[in-house]
Amino acid sequence: MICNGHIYGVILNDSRELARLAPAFQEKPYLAPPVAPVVYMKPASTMSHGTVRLKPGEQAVAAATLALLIARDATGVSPDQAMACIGAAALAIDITYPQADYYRPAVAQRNADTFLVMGDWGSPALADRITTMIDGQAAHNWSLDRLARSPDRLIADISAFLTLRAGDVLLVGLPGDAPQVGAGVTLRAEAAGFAPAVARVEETT
Amino acid sequence: MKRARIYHRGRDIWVSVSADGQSLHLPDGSFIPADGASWLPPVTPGASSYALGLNFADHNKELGFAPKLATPLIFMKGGNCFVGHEGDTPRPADGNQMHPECELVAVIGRPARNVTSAEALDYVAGYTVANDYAIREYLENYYRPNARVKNRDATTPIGPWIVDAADVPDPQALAITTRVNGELVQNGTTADMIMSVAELVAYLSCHSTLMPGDMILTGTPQGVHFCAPGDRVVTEVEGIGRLVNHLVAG
Repeated sequence: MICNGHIYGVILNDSRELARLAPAFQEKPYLAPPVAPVVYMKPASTMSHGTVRLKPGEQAVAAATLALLIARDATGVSPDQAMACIGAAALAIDITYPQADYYRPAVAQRNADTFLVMGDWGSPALADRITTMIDGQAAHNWSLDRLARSPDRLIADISAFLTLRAGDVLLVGLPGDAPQVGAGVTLRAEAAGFAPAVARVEETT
Repeated sequence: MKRARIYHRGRDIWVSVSADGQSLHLPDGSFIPADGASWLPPVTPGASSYALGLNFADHNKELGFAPKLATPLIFMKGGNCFVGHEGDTPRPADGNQMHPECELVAVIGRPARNVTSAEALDYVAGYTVANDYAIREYLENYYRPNARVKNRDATTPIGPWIVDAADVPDPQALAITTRVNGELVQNGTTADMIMSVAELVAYLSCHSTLMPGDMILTGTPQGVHFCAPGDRVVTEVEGIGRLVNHLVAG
């Protein structure tokens, strides 16, 4: 449970998605590829307690990822120093309503209550391959090898301007091909050595 | 009543500020002078902070944007970016286009979920002042204004205190000013906000539950003025507070 920290994540850290969008990055509204990590935040109210609640009739993107709990403040750290700032790791499923583009911050899409599913924390480790199960069927899997910025590089590059503080959580990146889900299914992210992240998807009442 | 958070003898504490602003009432019943206090951001650790971009038509025009956006431009800020009254804010060597942005801040008092504009102000516990500095060189067109612009360490002075909502009869009738080394560079009013405090609370509460201590930085009027290390920047919202910040080379 996060008490006093913030939950940070980054978009556009999947090398496959970056390659796919490379031509679009030259067009409006972007006009140039991203340079710094593109950071978003999720409020504490997004923490799921076993259910994800969607607006009636809506679909959402369910992106399985790795959450790292910061244990020592990271300010201007090098990649070599970055992993020493991590105190724990967990699987997570970051839920968002689909976005048309990445131009403006996506508070309306990303911040809904219950839109972050977390597994139990364990010792710091990097998941090899993360699989997303929908109603017991494998629907997506990806390897963190796809991250354009590896976790140590990501922490270093964020810490160049933003101190990741003890108690903060960092979601290391989202697969650009994550599945969409609607109400009525059970979501489960799995990876060897990690507790699963599990939630039932329902409609808001 | 005004509530402030200070560093005092080895810990951070919330205090109340006397009506004349001269003394601070500590939780143990004692008083200390306000002058010389170590002001901390009056922010609940872990609280969510939302900030508005382009919420004043005059500022939008100044920056070349439409007077009113189709959807409000809202981003989040982490606690790392806050710094208290009389604190230092680093200006990077290459941040030549760094400008202050004086803003009224609404502080939520109880859980707000799907509230209407008509009832929204009942969920606001108080108000404070923020200076949401921007560094235009670091703008990128991804989640713009991106974190490298708006979530930098110690680049959002906030405070000096939170004024109870009961003492602010109309949050949409307050003068907003910024002075840099005494020169008036922003001179606006909350009457010119495109979305009012009430509308912002209602809008955000439809997307996620706002919790006590959560904050909304409601946007800034026109007056882009680039600052330099050594500048003394004073942002003031009428009836709320006068927030002093010192720019240093960083």
